[in-house]
Amino acid sequence: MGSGQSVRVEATLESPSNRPRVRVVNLFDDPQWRDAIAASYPIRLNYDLDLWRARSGWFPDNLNTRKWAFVISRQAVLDVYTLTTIVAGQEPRKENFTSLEMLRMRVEQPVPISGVAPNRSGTFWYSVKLGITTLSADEFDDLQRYVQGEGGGGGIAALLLRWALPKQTVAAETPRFVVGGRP
Amino acid sequence: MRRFCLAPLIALLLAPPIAAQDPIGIDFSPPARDTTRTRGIPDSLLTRAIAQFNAVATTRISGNFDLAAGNVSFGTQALYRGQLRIDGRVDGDVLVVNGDVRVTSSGEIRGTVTVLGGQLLIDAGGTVTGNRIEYPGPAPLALGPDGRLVRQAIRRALTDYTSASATFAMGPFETTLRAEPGIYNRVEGFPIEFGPSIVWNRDDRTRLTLDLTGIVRTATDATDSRGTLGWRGSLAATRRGTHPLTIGVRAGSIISSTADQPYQQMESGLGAFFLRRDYRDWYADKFVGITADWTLRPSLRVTALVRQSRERSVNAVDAFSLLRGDEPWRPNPLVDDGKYLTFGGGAVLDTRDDPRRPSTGWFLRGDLRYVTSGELTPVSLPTEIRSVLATTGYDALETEFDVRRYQRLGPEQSLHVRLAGAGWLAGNRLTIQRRRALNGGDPMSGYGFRALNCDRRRRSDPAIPALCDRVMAVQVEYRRTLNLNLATRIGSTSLGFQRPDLVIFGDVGSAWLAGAGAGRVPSNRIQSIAEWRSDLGVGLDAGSFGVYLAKALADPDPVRLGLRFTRRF
Repeated sequence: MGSGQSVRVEATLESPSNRPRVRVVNLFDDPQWRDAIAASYPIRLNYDLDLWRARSGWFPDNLNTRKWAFVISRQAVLDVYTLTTIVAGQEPRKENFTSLEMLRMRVEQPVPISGVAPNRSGTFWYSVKLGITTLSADEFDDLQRYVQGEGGGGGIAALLLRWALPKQTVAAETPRFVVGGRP
Repeated sequence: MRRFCLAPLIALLLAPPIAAQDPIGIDFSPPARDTTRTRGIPDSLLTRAIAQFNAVATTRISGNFDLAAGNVSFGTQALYRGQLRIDGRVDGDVLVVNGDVRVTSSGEIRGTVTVLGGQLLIDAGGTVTGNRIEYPGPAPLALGPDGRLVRQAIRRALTDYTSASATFAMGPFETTLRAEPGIYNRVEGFPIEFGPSIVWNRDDRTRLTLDLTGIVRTATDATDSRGTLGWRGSLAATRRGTHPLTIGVRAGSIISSTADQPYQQMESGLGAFFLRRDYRDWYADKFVGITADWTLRPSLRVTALVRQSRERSVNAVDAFSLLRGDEPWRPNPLVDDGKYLTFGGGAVLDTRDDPRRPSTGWFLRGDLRYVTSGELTPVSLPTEIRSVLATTGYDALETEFDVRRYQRLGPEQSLHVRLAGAGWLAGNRLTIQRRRALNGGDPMSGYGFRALNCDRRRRSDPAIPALCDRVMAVQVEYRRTLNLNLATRIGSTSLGFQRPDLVIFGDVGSAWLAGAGAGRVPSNRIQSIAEWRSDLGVGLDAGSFGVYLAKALADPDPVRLGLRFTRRF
């Protein structure tokens, strides 16, 4: 790890909506990831967000799980950094940044997650798990083709959203919140 | 001074309102009806881009290109799939398809820049004198073999490396030619299936699909119990929309599997091809029928069918297998030959997060079948197994159900429970092809093939037919993902265990004959739980395959090692 700080993920709640926000911190301070990005190694960040409902005397109920992935890469000719957002069932979203600092600001910004709120009453919380790994040349090539509309469907998206062996996994939970005034 | 202080405030007041949807956010909300979808590339723009790219005067570039500072390019510059960096000057238009352009501070484009499927980045000081057209979503365009830009044909996903297909699109018609192997078995050998599938997208809401499949059976049948060729076909109309509805007609002359089906199709085929262990039984099936499939909600589907079939026995042949080639195949049991009319209906509720690797949600499936026959040639079975069937006026009602709950306990662990059963409900007793058994391997990992098959004949039948009226099983498993890597990578394929699931499981189940009499369970009851078989086991599931060890409880069976290529359930 060297002198850099280690990566962590933060999960917070917006008030008063209780919409979760997820943020990765220190990714660019961790030498292994900073050096990988600088050396043009594509890296991927796989996120799993779970919504839990507390049940007294029994296992908490996992109401839903949502997955998404960020792929960070560098396009050498353009000298730009690209952040590709992969969400199952949605078109991949690509953003380019002309400097590492701009990419860092974007990646480390809290990401609000919509469409995951509980639709019943009770006590809830979100847990988020972030796995970070490098992307193989073949996977990156598949991703490029997929982003450019030649991926033959969402196979590569599904592949990217699936867990590879993460080099690093970090997790966090939001505070508990009550919906409907009844815990 | 006062004017400078007010400027940011005025700018703030004039600024557009903050969008309701945060542009950096992730939205999992289901798409609302009638809302604007992702901004697609207009068809007219695609047509214009094709013409511009293919024009004789256009300079076409493939891959990445950097126009260095001080250099000038004249005329239209077109790039497909790559990155274009402009440090110099372009006297003309620029077209980039499925790529990005960056105009640096020294760069200048004296013309229109069109970027389809990418981004246009202009640094401070960079110049574009003409229009800037930019669509980030992928452009459905591809390079043809002659280097000309063409529209992409709609691709069909290849789900199986062993199959081959080619798709051609012409107007609203899409034709797919395919060739693929069926399930390897001891009756047909390798059934090679081939034929066209033609889809007519009549309009945005209606689609007609014609599938025609020819079947060539590679194994020779010296007894002529079935032909070398088979076929099947279907014509289906689909109405898309909120509640998609498909109604179709099907017909064919095929080899079908009997109702007792341990293991998934692929596993059964692999077992037969490699190990000379065919876990299914087969019969010749000539049929014609009408089917309907209605999706009421994304998670809820109901189906119905009316089917007339002529079913008759076929023999196992001397099909090839990689191992145990000197062993005889298990004989294929006789079935009750006849002409049947079947009415069926079913429903599936599936709220699982991932049908292939579920960790949370419900899966509920229920089917009812009412079978009649006026022309039946039943196999003679002892009355302890089945009362004598009449050759006419046959009717029977049967059911099949599968209830599963997938419960996540944490990010890395889950608990899965399944209750499944099938069998006779009312009417005449079931035909042999609709009877069941309690199978080892699947679902009872601690037992051998057809551990309970209800065959009470004094002399055991080497075909080991499934002869029970009813079967029921409960499976429970706990899964925990392990952070271990016992995999190696060959090319782009990973072999071995990479973050496998540790699976700890237990199964209980039974199969029995229903009705009055010795050794039978009354029709309105299930067999006493004390009579059920049970096992416990542990395994590692790598996703594409799993290795399991299981031991039958209260039975002297040895510890069994099993290899599965699909999830247990």
